[in-house]
Amino acid sequence: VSYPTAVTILFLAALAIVAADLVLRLVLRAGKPTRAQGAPREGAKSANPSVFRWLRVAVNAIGLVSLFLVASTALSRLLTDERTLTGDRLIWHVGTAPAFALAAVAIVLFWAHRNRFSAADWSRLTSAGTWAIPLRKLFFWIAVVLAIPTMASILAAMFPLFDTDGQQDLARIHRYCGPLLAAAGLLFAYFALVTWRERSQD
Amino acid sequence: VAVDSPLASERVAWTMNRFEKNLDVDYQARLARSWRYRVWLKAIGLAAAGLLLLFLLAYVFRAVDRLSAATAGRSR
Repeated sequence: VSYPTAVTILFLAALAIVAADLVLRLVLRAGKPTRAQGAPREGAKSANPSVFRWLRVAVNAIGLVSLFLVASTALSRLLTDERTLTGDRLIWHVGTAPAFALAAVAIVLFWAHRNRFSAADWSRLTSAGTWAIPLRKLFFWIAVVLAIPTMASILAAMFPLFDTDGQQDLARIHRYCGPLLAAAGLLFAYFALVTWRERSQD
Repeated sequence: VAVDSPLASERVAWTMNRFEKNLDVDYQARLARSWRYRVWLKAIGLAAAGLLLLFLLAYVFRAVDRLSAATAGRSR
């Protein structure tokens, strides 16, 4: 399977997860309440002051925009005949990458504690309509795990530490971890929006 | 670069990119200007990757600690 095909399949799979979740939610909403009886739920009200709430909203928005910019500049080459990312798209990709890196740290700072796995997550995952919280946590930690090699590999290739083959391997790690990070990040953002909407409806 | 000519009056200076045909001078200038920020890219990227690793390890250690506590049971 070629790289563009693999990336296309990856994003189609992410879209399929979103579509399946939307369809199941619509079906469950038509039949019964979305929250299963007895299923544990996350704390509805945050004790944080409003300034932190707005800061969190701003961080989330900046993170989502920077993720979109970094991913779109990198993946735009799949729409062209070029085999490598070059030219102005490369400059835009590299220019937006530090903003994404800083936003990623801020998002992890704001979300890591809320995304700790607990014993209740298993019952949420198996209960009808409450799987968004454990899936949000799962895709969050997948994105965190993938963000580290995505950043570290391409930065390591900028130092005179590796030979040509080593630098190509590092670039390959970046090329394969990057789309996986983008897909996990988008799914985390989707399930975070779903849980936020569920909480606001309670 | 000074360009020689048989005529002394035609001695002129050319920028080096004039010797390269089909060179996108504007792009090369933009790329060259971006190079001065490369050190910032490295510093921010490595700091971000390091902080993410610290966050990840912090929660991994807590998970391992809880796993160990759960498997240890109540015996002392």
